[in-house]
Amino acid sequence: MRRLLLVSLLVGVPACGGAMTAHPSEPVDYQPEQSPAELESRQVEHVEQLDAVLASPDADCAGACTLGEAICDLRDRICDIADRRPADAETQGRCRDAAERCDRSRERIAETCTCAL
Amino acid sequence: MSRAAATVALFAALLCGCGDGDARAWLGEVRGLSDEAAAAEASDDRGAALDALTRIVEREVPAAVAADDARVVRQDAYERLARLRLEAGDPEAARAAAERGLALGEREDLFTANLLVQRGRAREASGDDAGAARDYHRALLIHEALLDAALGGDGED
Repeated sequence: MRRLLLVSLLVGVPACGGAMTAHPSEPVDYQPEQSPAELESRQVEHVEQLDAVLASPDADCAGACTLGEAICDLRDRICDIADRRPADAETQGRCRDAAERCDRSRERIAETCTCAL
Repeated sequence: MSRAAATVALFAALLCGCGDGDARAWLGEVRGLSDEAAAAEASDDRGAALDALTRIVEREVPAAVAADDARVVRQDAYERLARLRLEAGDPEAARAAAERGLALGEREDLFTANLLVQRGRAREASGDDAGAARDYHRALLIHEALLDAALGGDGED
């Protein structure tokens, strides 16, 4: 079942190009003109990201980022329909619920992963 | 990850667990058809892609293939069929393909969620906005459950 879950995470979510894992695959390209203070600030930022990853060793950030993107894309689709149907209370409710779930997903992902959603 | 790479990953994962000869032969055949469909799509030959995907869903599944493995292979094909039908401007055929895929069994996975999204798109294209919103919302709930799993559980509702 874990195999299927893994495959499930890999297959079929459109537009996943923006997803990032919590583990940078390339070295960070520091510019020589950056001041020591800027470099220190960036280092602190990276240490915080590392702490977040180490605090959740089981998290699948690539999958989480892709899923978060899909959740918010579906929110957009639902709320576009709701905009066209202002008198449809059921669809309005789905839009509100979807928006809350999108926001909550973003918050939860941001606690552990570094993808920009 | 591109659609083609994702499909390769799907078949690679399934092949790892397919010990029986018949099962491996079936998987090899449907994988070949899947690659054929992807190549046809890449060269804008929608007819050939539809033909290859149709052959996947019509191919008899050997008894040795695990039911859930057969389901995900066929649901992946139905989802691609629905998308291609929709792109061809035929929302009714798209919806029918998505429904055939869903009829194979709805689970809390991306195969089911993707089929719901395609049915939603088909419904939206035929003017059934309320039905589309229902399908999109169900797909969203599945994605959310998968997100809980990806983050190590402990989701809130």
